[in-house]
Amino acid sequence: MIATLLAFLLALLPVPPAADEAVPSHAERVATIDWGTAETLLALGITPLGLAETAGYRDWVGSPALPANVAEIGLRATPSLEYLAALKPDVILSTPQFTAIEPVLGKIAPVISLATFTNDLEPYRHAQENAMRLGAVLGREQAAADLIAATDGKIATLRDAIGTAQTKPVLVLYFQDDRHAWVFCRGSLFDDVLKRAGLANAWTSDGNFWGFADAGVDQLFAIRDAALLVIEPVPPAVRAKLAARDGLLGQLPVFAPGNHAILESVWGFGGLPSAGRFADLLLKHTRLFERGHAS
Amino acid sequence: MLHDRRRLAVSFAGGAYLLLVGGLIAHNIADIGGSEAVRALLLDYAYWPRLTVSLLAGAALGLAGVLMQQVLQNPLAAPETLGVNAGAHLALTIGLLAAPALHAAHPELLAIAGAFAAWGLIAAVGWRWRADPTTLILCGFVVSFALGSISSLLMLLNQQYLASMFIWGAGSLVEDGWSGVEQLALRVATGAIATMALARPLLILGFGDQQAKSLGLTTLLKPLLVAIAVLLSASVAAAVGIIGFVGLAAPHLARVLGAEKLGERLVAAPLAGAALVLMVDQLIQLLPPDQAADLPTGAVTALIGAPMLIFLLRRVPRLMLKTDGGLVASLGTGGARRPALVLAGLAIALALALALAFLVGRAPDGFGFYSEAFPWRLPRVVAACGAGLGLGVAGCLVQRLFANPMASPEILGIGGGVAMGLIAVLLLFADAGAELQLVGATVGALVVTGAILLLGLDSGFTPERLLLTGIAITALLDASSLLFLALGDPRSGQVLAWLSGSTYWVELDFAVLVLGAGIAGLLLAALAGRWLEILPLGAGMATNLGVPLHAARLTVLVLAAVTTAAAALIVGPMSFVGLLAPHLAGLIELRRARPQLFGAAMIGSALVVFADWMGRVVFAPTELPAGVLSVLIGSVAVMGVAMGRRKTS
Repeated sequence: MIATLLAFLLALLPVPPAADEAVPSHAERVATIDWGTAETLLALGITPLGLAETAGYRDWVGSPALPANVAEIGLRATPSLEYLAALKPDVILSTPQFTAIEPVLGKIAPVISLATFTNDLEPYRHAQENAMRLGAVLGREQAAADLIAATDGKIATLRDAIGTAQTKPVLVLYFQDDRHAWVFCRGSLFDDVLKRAGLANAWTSDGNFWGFADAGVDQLFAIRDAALLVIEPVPPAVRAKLAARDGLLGQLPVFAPGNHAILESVWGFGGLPSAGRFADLLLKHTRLFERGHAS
Repeated sequence: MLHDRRRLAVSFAGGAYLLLVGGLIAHNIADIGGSEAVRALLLDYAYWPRLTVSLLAGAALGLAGVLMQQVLQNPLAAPETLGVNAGAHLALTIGLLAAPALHAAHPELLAIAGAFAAWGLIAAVGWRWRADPTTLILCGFVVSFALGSISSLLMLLNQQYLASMFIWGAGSLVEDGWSGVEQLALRVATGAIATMALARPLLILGFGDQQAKSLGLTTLLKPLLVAIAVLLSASVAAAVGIIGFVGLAAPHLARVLGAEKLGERLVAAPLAGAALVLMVDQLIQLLPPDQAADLPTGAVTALIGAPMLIFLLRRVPRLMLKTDGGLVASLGTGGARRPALVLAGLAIALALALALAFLVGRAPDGFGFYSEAFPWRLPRVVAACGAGLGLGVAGCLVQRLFANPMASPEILGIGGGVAMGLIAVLLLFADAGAELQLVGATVGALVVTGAILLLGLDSGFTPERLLLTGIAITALLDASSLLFLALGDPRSGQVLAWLSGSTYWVELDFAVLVLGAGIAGLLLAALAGRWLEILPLGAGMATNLGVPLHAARLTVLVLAAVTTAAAALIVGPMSFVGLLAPHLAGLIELRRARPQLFGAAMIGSALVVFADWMGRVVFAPTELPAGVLSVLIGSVAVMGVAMGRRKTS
């Protein structure tokens, strides 16, 4: 009731006009505060002039590698205006999670807000649209089409590798500590990749609009017939329990030998490059999903 | 007769509780699905350890609460009010960043070290006032928030690396195996045995220091007993995280249930704590598993415990706090002979700060004017100026209202209301813009002000009641923001940035509005100058001098609330500018109401403007929020003032 009322009030608020018209055609000078947008830019062959929290990008996203000459512009929530202005960007890329600061950023250059994770829970489709939009704005239409095709291709390769084999549902998670995990569910980039590759997600209930849910280790225990993919970084305490098959965590049915894999770090809140990378990583573990292979 | 009726009520309540919790446990056990073997595993590794840990944690916190309250003769003493949690939190955060191996292997060492350091700091600052319970608690608040601001700064800068700290902070009881239970049980048993051994001296401490000395108790006894309490609560913090408000509420719950004597309370409070945590935790497990995982028990006990405490305190007549202490140093009637000259000096200092903040910026090629940045800096400088001004005014008002040198608008919890409103909006809407966030924040401030007014009307605005309400509201804010952060929402970075008070997103029209509100508050407060002069003299004196006590207190409170709300939208819920500015004004001899008001307004302004500028340039391009820097500057200065006063008097 209250939510409806507030949504109604929200609809009355002025909607900022799309910024695309204000961006010079074939803009080259781009700054971004979002890591997912940064990886998409790099995949389109554009090196952003500046990015927020570059050290974090290198630790958490990693690939595509960030060239050393990309300027640090500060925190994602409050990038430095002086540093941004010094870069003289033609356009600044943002996401709806930073709407609060877009008017401020708009004083330096036109802002384009690219939504990937929204309440309609279709990040892969949005990531494709964002790549197209960036391609159009930055004069890289062909590169964008290529990126979309290449990512679809990676998923197609994965689907073909699985083929007609009977598959188990897949559980994908980050461990927070040895008792809690973020499980990727509907609305996550990873879930969209699984779906497109013909795999089922073992976590069927919904999470937040980022597409993950908090799960205690006892809830993970309830999931039996599934393959498990744990994404790095894995906390030391989890490794220890896993090695000793200690505690509930070490005895999780999904942790059965040959039934789980630890994936290299891949960013769950990125764009097409992360989706493609996830598909590539899955390709190395297709045997996990085949029913009747393990146990 | 009355006693019998109470006994009947208590046994009835106890029976109802046992039925309820027994039913919950039976239901939750029956709810565990799977084959016989799986159920056995889940029960043995998850359900029973979790249940045991909830009992142990609740009992340990209850015992810690009784110990602290008895030793310090302070009904508000508890792990959360005496900085234990804040100290443990900061130490664990630093440990996770700087020494992850130590953090993984021995979190309890970090938590215990942090808890003792924080308690030591509070004891050093507040010991002079140990006879004044309210002031010791206020010292605890200042130190807790100083440490908390460092923690939130670290979180802001390392959000992605500290996600597990959010879970910890919210207190999740999810267990895996018995190792956590064993460690906690060992420490709780040690604490309980030590308490039993010291029960007699503990009782004597209740008779007062003189009595204790004449009965030959050593001076070491008090620190030893407090150390046991700190150890107990730090062990819980290390094992399961922050279980909010149990340490504070359990002893009072025990009292309400009829445990009058200390010996009874030493047993009843741990039982009450255990019962409380057990019930909350079993209730949470009723939810479908995916929702239950989103609700960490500790944050929920705080959400339940805070209002419960307000309710309990209204029923405990003997709980009177001595706050009507009359004159305090910064509120004297003397003061500078020529306040106008001092104020002119302050105006010059403020002008210099404004010029610095507006003119000088830092870009990749160093410090400079960067005149193209003037239009972007203007709103921030105006907003910082307005917020500092409002807080300075509100600080003067609250300090004079409470007649307590450590009182401040932050402690009323209005900023907390602003923060809760903001978080509610962010939870309801995935991509709430500035306008909507503002709507939420304003509604939150108004709701809390309304609550303060309602509770105040009921109890005749006694300062201690308002203070308790403020503490409870602040705890509610903590719990709700912890819940939000524990949800792992990646927007938590944005919330942390705001909670720590950034002027980043402020637009000029809004900044002008805040400045206008501050100036209006200042002028209205100056009009009420006579009341402000008389209120600190105490209720009796004020009535004798013909001040309409209720009307005056109500007016001052509303004025302080509105100015604080406007300012909190800019610099965040906690800044301590409102605490510091009146003190600094007092230090430069501005002690009469009106000169102090104007002085504090200018000092507050200059402080926030300077903090905002520092935040922009020191680690550029990484910006530190003005609010967090104000807390750091403010709390260190307040501690300095408080320690300094120990020598002079």
